[in-house]
Amino acid sequence: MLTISNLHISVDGAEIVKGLSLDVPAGEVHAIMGPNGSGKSTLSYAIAGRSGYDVTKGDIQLEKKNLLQMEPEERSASGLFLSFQQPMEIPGVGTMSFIRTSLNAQRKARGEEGVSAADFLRLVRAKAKIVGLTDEQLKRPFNVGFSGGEKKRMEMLQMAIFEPRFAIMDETDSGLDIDALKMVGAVVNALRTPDRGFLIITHYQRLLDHINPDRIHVLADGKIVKSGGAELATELESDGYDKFAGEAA
Amino acid sequence: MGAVLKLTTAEQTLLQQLPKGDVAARLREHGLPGRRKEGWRWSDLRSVLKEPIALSDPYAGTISPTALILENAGELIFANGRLVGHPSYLPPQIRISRQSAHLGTPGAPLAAIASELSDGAHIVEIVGKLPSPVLIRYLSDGSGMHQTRVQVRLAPDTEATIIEHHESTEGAWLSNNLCEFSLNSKSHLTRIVVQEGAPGAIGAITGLVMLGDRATYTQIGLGFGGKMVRDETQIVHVQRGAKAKLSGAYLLDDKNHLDNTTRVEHRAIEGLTEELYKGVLRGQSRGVFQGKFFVARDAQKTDARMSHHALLLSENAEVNAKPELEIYADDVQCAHGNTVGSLDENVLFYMRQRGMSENEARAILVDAFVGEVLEGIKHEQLREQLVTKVRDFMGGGA
Repeated sequence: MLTISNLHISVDGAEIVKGLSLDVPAGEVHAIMGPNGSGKSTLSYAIAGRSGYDVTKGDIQLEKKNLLQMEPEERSASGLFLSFQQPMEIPGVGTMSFIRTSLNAQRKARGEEGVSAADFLRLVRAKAKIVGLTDEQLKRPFNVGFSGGEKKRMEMLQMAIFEPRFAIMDETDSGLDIDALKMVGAVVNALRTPDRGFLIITHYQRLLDHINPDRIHVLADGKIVKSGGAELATELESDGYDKFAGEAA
Repeated sequence: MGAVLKLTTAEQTLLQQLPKGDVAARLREHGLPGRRKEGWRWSDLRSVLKEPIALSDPYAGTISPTALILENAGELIFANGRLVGHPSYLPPQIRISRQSAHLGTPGAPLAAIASELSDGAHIVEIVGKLPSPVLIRYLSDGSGMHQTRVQVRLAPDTEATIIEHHESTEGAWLSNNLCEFSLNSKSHLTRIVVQEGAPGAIGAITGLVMLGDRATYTQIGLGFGGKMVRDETQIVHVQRGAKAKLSGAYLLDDKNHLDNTTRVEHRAIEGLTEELYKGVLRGQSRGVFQGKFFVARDAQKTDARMSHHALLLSENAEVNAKPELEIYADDVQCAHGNTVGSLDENVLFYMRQRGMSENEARAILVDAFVGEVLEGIKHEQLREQLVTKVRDFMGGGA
C-alpha cells in the first residue's frame, strides 16, 4: 500500500535519510523505532510533503500513486494522514470549523459531497467521546491553551473523523499517560481494516502493547537496519538501540 | 531668519483657496505635511501632491443605495464634500443643523485646512438612546479637493452607533474629512470607520474625540488605503473615568498606502484606553502605524494599553510602526506591544496536511488575524459584510 524505495532525504543540504526502503501492505500496521536523530520525523514529513525536506533520490507511492508529485493537500485528499509530533495551535480559528473545513476540503478534492453542519456535529460528538475531549474543549480555538496530551487527543479526533487510508503517527505516544495510550490504541484498532495501513513512529514499546503491530523496523542513521515481528520491540526495550548504531555506520 | 520655504504648485494653488488667517499663514510657512514634519515621516503628502489643487466638481457618479446594507439605519450622504438630498430615516433622537459660525481650528494640519475650506459645519446632535445606527457616507470621485466638517454631539446618557463609509469610485481626488465627536457624561458612542479608496485616491480622515465624565467610546476601523490615505484619530480624556476602545484593521494591496495615526491624551483621572491595530499587507503596499499615549500629570490611575501587529504576505510590502508613550503621572499602567511578521509556515503546512489548499489556509489565517478586531462589531449585519470584504481581499490570491 505504502511503498518506499531507496529514499534519500536532505534537509538544509545535509542527508538525513540515506536509502530507505519500506513496504507496508494494506491491512497492516508497521512500527518504526529508533534513537533520536535517526531520521524518523524527517521520513514522516517527507511522506506528507513538507517543503524543506528534499527527496534527492528514490520514490514514495501510496496505492501506486506517486506522492512526490503531489502537493501536501493532494496527498491528504488521497487518504494520507500525519499525526504530528507537535501539533499546531491556531488562534482565532474555531476547532469545529477547522476540522469541518479540513474534512470537506478532502471530500471536495475527491469529488464527494461536503458533510452538513448537523451530520458533522453528530460525527464529532461521537468521536470526541472516544478520544476524551469535552464539548467545552471543542468550542475553543484550535488547540489554543491545550496541554501536550490534549493536542494528541485532538490529532486522534481528526484521524477518527477523516478515516484516512493510510496514517503516519509520529510519536503520538510521547507525553501520554496510560489511559491516553489505551485511547490511542482503541482509535487505531477501530480503524484497522483490510484496506487501511498504519506507520507508527515511536521510541518505546508501551504504545505497541496496545496496538500489536504486524512488523517492526529499526531505523538508525537514515536506514532500516533490522526488521522483525512484534517481539523485536521487547528486545529493543531491554537491549536499547546502541548495537544498531554500530551496524548502520 | 530661516530660509523661506519654496511652495510647491499644489501648495500655491491651495493657498489661493484659503481665506487669510492662521491656517493660510501656517501653510505658507511650513507647506503641506511631509517627511520633514514630525508625525508625517512615512506619509510624505507634500511630495505626493504635485498637481495644482482645484476644488472638486459636484459628484458625477450615481449614488448607489447599497454600499453597506444596514436595515433601519438613518443615512447622511456627502458626495464630493456636499450634503446630498435629505437625510433619511433619522430617528427623533437626532437633530441635524448647519452652523456657519466658526467653530475653532483644530491643530492637525489637514483638519485645519478642512475647517477653513468647509462651508461651516454639519452639527449632529443626539439625545437619548438611538434605536439603530446612523450611516454617514462620504463619496468621492473625479479630481480636485473637497472637504467636510461634521460635529457629532452626544447629550448625557446618550447611546449611539455611527458608521462612516468613506467610499470612492475611480479618480485622483483629495478628500479631507474632519469628523468631531463630543461625548457628554455617561454617553456611549460606537464609531465604525470603513475606508475604501481608488488606487489614485488621496484622502485624510481626521477624527477628534472629546470624552466627558465616564463616557465610553468604541472605534473600530477597516481600511484599504489608496495612493495615500491618512486616518488620524485624536482622543482626549477630558473628564474622569472615561473609556476608549480604539481598534482598526487594515488590508493593503498593490501600491496602496494607509497611515493610521492615533494620539490618546489622558487629562483626567481613572481613564482607560485599549488600542489594537492589525494590518495585512501584500504587493508593494505600505502601512504606517503611529500610536501615542500622552498622560498628563493629573491623570492618575490611567490604564492605557496599545498593540499593533502586522502580517506581511509579500517581500515588497512594508510597515512602519511607532508606538510612543509620554507619561507625566506616576500612578498609571501603560503598555505597548508591536510585532511585524509573516504567516507561520509550520501552521500552513499543518493545515495543508489536513486537506486545505495553500490559498484557503492563508485566507483562514488572515480572517482569524483580522477577526480579533472585527469581532468587536456588535451589529451582526455590518460585521458579516466587513468579514466578506476581508475574504474578498484574500480571494484575489495570496
